[in-house]
Amino acid sequence: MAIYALKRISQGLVLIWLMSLVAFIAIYALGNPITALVNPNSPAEVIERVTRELGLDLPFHDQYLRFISNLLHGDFGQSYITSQPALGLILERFPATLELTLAAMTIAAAIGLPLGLYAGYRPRSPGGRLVGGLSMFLLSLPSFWTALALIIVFAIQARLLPTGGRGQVGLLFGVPTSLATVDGLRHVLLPAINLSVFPMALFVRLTASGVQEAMNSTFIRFARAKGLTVRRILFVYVLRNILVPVITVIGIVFGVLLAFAVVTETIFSWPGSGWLIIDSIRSSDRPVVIAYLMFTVTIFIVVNFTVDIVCALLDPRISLAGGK
Amino acid sequence: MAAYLKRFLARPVAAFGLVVLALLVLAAVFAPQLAYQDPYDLAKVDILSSRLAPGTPSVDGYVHWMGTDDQGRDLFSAVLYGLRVSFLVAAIATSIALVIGVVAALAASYFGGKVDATLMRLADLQLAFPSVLTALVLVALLGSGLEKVIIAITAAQWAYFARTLRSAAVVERAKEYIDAARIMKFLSLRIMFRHLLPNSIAPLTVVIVVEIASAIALEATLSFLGVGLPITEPSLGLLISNGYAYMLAQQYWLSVYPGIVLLLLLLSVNVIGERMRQLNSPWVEQ
Amino acid sequence: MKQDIVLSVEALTTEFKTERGTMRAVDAVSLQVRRGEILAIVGERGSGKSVTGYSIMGLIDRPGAIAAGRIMLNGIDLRSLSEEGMRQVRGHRIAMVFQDPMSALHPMMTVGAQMVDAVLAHRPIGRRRAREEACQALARVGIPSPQDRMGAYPHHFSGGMRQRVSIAIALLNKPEVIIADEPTTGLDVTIQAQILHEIQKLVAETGTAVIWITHDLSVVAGLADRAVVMYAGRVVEEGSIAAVIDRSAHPYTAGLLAAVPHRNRDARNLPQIPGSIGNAHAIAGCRFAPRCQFARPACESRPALDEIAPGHRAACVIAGRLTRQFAEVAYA
Repeated sequence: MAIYALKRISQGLVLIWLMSLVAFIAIYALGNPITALVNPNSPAEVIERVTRELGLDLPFHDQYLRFISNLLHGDFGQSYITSQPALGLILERFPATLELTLAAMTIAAAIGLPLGLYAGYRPRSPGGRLVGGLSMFLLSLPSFWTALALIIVFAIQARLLPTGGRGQVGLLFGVPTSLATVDGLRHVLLPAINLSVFPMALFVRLTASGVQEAMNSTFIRFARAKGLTVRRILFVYVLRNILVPVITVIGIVFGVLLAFAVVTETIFSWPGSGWLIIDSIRSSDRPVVIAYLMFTVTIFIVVNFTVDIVCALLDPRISLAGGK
Repeated sequence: MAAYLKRFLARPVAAFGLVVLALLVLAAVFAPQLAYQDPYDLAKVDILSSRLAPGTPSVDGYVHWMGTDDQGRDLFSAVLYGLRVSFLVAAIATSIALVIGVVAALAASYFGGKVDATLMRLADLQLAFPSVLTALVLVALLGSGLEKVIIAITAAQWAYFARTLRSAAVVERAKEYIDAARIMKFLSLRIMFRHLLPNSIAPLTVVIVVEIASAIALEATLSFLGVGLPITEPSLGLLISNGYAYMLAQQYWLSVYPGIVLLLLLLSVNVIGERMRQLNSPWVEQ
Repeated sequence: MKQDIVLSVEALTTEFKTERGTMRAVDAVSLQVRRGEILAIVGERGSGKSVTGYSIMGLIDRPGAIAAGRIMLNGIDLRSLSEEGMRQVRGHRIAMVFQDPMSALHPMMTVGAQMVDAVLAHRPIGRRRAREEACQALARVGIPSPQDRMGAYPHHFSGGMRQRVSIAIALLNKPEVIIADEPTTGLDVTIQAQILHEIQKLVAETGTAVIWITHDLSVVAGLADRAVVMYAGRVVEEGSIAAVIDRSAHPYTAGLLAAVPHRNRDARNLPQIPGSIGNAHAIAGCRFAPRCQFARPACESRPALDEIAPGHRAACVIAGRLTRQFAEVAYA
């Protein structure tokens, strides 16, 4: 187990290092590196001072070392707009994004997985076909489109839910979150639903095809030959078989949601890190963009790593210590 | 080819999708003829006729059957031209991504070993990131504008093509006729493009169609967020974005009509892609 | 002494609907198995032997379906049972052993759990007793320290052991018939011999009827009592094992036997049946005719399965007039 974990950790670190290279090149090689870090409208002596401070007159590899050491201290530079530390800005808004993502994942899994099981087991029933068609339909739509549709229907026409913003924050198990208040839940509902559309459709398709594949497999045939009931076959044999791919997908989707949250947050004015990134892109606030990139990559890697470990624990075939 | 088409059309949904797509393509191609006015031509646009409801006649008697947008442009014309832009951007980006992906996949499968490992590791890295994020980051670093958007979409897509083709090509590579070609000292390039490629291209055709839809959606998303195409090249995404502010004022048509057209476009392409995928898997009962 | 017929398949026809038309994988096949008897179904790939086995078990899924025939298990027509009724028969009165135990056993469940499942699906005797029975079954098929092995996963067993586990599962509920679909294909010859021996022992002890599906006639030569030879979905010959092997009446059977490396043979080239099964399923007449040395105009109509000697039948116009040596020469 330890060897496997170490292997994955080291792979992850390599990836993060690669990302840092990309980020470094992005700031220092693309365009004028000065303007990437300092507001180009500052007076000349400010620019000169900052240039020396940031060591931009040093040769490249020295700059890179500085860059790395800054990163390790959590210093991604400062936002032009607010002059606050870039990483700090992101961390401040990340909890809101996390809330939204968790809510969306829950909805997607709670609805998508059972529907997918059903559609996979009875693909030709009217219900199965409907689920299949609907999931394909939903997967085609860009998330901004579904967001608009949701807002039109629920917020504007029916006036049931607010059109945007985050609700009141309360305490849930000692953690401050807007999911703890009714007002918070009202606000999070539409964006969470919107964010859940893509993963839900994905879950449905995945579970359905996983179930179908399993049903055609030899060991399911054998289970049927043993005379097991359909319930037992479906919920124990088939489920266990698709567990690993499903969990893998959950991990990947979690990472995807962090990115798709960008669109949803923008439309619903949800104060998360995704909205921050769009603003930063629009105003060319590079330090924040770079910080977001590094941050997101690290999250991806951590999540994927966790998923790998969980899968290894679940599947007895994956040998962890390397020996029987 | 005719037999394939026949099987394709056996499903009514797929046939419908094909018809809708054909209509949309025709509309885009003949936009200058079909549109009432060229939305880029600022001379013809009258700010006074802005935000007219659908069905309102304009000063010269033309009935704006989709209404007008906030600049006074006939929405129908804007949508037609927007369709053009969507198709163009998606086609160009997908084509470039296809070329890159094909070259990478052929090289990886033909040369194997380190080449394969490196290229595929790169592709996997790319695939690990959702396309929206990749595109956003690239646009953030490069700036917005037509070429940058195309680069961004291309970067998000090439890996998918590369991976798909590589899987099929690797299987073909192991077959004897490739060995025979090598023994006969055919040039590697020739083997790759005239032997390996045609025999492994089948699964790629489905992916191409799906990725076109993906490119359209991606461009629309970027434009909607204001980081895609500039205002001078109105794409459907931009139209929707512009119209969003007026939604609360019950002037829904500004966003809804382009939205519906976008929906039809994406759905038809995806339906076609799905049908192609079904046809490619003969062991699944139709 | 006339022994009881346990399972009787009458004119079974199973079809698969594909985009290119309907294929009859099993075409009016009839066979019977008696108590304590081992019946071999022999045929190459495409002969319909496995489909026959699955049809008996009721495990034919779309796009296939049983189109005609009766499957009588001790007087009950299995086709008349509901899905639930058939489920109760499967694994209880008829059990099946699959070809590849690695893919037949669920990789993520312990062997013990899978065996207990098989028991509890039919007899609610409680988990503890089920585990005991499972343990005993493992011991009976010759698996050492069965108690420990119950908690092991399938990939911890060797191929031969896994197959023994499959056989143990089949025996758990004391079925009347066991259908074994190529159970020793792919295993070492020595392991094969052991398993064949186990089966014979078990049949003698319990009186279970066994249908042994294989493509290898030599495997069943020492094992089976009777044999049914299938080609392209039809029965071409059936009889006692001695009759089918020593007095083969159908050119196909003769060809199969001629191709078996004989211990006492001089080193000569191994004769082969020319050609392949090809599109045989589409032929209305004798389906073996395209590959048959003795084909003649009469073969254009489907030959009837005639009795050429008591208990020995063949579907060929020249049935009974074929000698083994003649076949060897013809196919050499």
